[in-house]
Amino acid sequence: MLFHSREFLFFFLPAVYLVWLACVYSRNQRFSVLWLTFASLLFYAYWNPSYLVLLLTSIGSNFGIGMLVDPNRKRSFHIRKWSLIFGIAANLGLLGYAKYANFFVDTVNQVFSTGWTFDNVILPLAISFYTFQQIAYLIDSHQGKVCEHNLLNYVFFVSFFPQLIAGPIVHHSEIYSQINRGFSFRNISLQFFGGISIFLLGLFKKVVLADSCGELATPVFDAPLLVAAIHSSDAWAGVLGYAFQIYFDFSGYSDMAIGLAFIFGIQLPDNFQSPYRATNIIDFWRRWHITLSQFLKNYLYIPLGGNRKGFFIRYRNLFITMLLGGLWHGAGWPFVIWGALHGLYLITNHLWREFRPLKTIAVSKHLAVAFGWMLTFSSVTLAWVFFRAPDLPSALALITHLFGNSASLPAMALSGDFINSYLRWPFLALLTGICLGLPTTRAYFQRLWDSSIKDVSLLSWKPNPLHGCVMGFLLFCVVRKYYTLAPTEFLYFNF
Amino acid sequence: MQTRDGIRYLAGIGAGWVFALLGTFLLLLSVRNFRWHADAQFIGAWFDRKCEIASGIQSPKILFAGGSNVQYGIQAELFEAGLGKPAVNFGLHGALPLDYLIKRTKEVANPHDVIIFAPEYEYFFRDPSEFNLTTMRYLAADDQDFLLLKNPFDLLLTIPADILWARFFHNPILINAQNHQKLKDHLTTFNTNGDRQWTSRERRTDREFQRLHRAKPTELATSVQSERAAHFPAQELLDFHEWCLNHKIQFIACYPNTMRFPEYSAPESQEFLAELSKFYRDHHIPNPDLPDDAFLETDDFFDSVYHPHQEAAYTRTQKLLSTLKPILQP
Repeated sequence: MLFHSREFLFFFLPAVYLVWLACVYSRNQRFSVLWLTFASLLFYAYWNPSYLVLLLTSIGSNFGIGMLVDPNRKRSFHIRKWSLIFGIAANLGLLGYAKYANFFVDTVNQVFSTGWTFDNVILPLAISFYTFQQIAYLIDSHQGKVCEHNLLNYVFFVSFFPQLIAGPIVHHSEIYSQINRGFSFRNISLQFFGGISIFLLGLFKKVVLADSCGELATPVFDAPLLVAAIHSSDAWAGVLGYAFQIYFDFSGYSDMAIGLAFIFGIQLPDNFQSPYRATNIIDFWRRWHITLSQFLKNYLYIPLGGNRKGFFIRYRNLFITMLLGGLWHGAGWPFVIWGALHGLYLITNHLWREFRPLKTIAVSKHLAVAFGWMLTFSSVTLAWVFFRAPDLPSALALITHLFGNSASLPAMALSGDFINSYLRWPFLALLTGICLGLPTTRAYFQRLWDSSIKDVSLLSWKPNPLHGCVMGFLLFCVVRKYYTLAPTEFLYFNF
Repeated sequence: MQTRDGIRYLAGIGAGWVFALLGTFLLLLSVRNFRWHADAQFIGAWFDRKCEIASGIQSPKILFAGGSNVQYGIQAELFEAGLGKPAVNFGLHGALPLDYLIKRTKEVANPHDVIIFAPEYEYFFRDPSEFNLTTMRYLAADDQDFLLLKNPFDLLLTIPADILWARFFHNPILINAQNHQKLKDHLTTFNTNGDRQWTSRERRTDREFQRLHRAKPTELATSVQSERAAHFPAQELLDFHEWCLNHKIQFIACYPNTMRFPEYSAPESQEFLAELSKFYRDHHIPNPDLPDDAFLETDDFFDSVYHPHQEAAYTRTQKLLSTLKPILQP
């Protein structure tokens, strides 16, 4: 069930909300959590009921191991240590089997010219996300940071449907504290209108912006090996289209998840903070997929030694973290290269900061910022080619087209009308303007998170007719798009 | 937040929706009779020229109607020479809805004319209520009444965004400057019978030839009763036939000139073609043509599966002429 599918919007969500409302009205906190947990499991089972068994097994075992490794439960150090190792290994083993087994076998076959065969494993939905959340839980429990072991709260934390499929990756403490505070009927209308508005903004980003960018990107990324030449302007339009597509798709999904959770009185963490405004690559990773970056930092980079063990170990750790971050997105060499590229970008950025040769040269601050932005945006955009291309030869072919070895050829008539349309450059310019100029979702809806703010600007959301009008317009655009195209999956569902 | 604020917010959402709908309608009106897009300019100019030719020829005449398979695949000039009767190639654009093609054909047909109608295979499967982008662009400029006669609410929700933006972002002078010469060249390629005389085999580029080899067939249904043929335009064809009879116009159904894909020889496709032929026979619509006669080889095409080059069009027309001669020259 996609968030923007009819069955979710018109059946699942209203039914879940109304029953939840009745539970909250009757002040039955446990039943409210129980109902949302049940609905979340139902939501997950809708794709494939057999996946639910896997999810429940994973939840049950991790909860048990979480109790075993907790130092407050006074078990021997060895039992705790080996239970933690077993728990992490089992989680990674399951993820590795489901996600990387085919990739491993293919690679071995290619390198050693062997003929191993392996049945295709269907990737269980959301496994990358719920595995990471539970590994974090085990490590925190081992460090004594888990205050309570409550099965219902735990199942809710892992399976809460707005964040289950593609994040944001939440920390147990963020969810537990909110469940324990309880659901209140006091702000229910603000929660409803605010949550729906955030959801609508996310829906607009996904359906109108991301899917339109897809019309630019898909023909180009599907074409490199099929056609002899792509004009470099077509290739750039496609690559830029994909850079915006993945941003609006994933940030749209995150907004929808945050909005849905907000309707039920749960606040999820931000996942994006205008990443394309970043003026260096370190800044980019503080703004892009924030919850994954934090997970990788806290549970991979720091345990590897972080920046405490000297110059080379620090950069090695950084590179390994980004490489594995790339591999987390998908089992394929293009993802590894994407991760490695970002690792190299980050190392270069850190080295530049340390040994900046131009420290003494006076450069206009604005010029430096503009140059930094340009360099960051183009580096990130080029790396997306490896992320999106179906395989390595296609990625390399597209990179060649980008730098114009076929520029003398006339523009190729690729499939899709939009690609050849005169509107593509104004459209891409508009998207750049949106990314650079408009406030983030968090900034626009700041009043929802902090009701003490009274003096908000015109560009901040308020439940008044003017902002209602803006939402009505966004809704119109979404419905228009629905009429012409069937809903497409979120890109991050594949990861 | 109080209930009153919630109601005002909801009213705002409703108002935003209504303003957007109204704005769309006004923008649509602003492109009325304004060929703002290359699609609208080309199809519009093409239609103007065809109508001019068809109206300038005295009846009784032979009128070849259909999409671009007729435009490219038939040479009316040969028919005129072969039968000694004026003939016009009124092949229009296959992207347009079937009822629109019929409407335009009716406008230039007179009593005692002969209409030879060869719609593309897509017309037997296409949902008539769904318009593609090219159609929208052309009709929004040239025939908004036709467009608005369809479900206007659906139309406002589906009209492509570029139609709505073009009025402000697209300078018509620029379009003209870019396309003027191409358009002019295009129109000079029609002879006095409406045949296009430019698409010879030697003009076909390698890229066009490669594109032909990548082309895919139209998926034919196993039966006119099947789900795939849910939009089979039986009523439209019968109504057109009846209109012709009422206006003393002879109506002949033919098959579209298209590429001979191996898929068309499959039993399911053959079954569909046999049923189509039976449909014409059962309703007494003359249909002496054979689907196989209209299937041409890949090398016979210019730049798409419905666009035979001139040399192939010559051969196909000769064959059709010998098939239809007994009916047209009893």
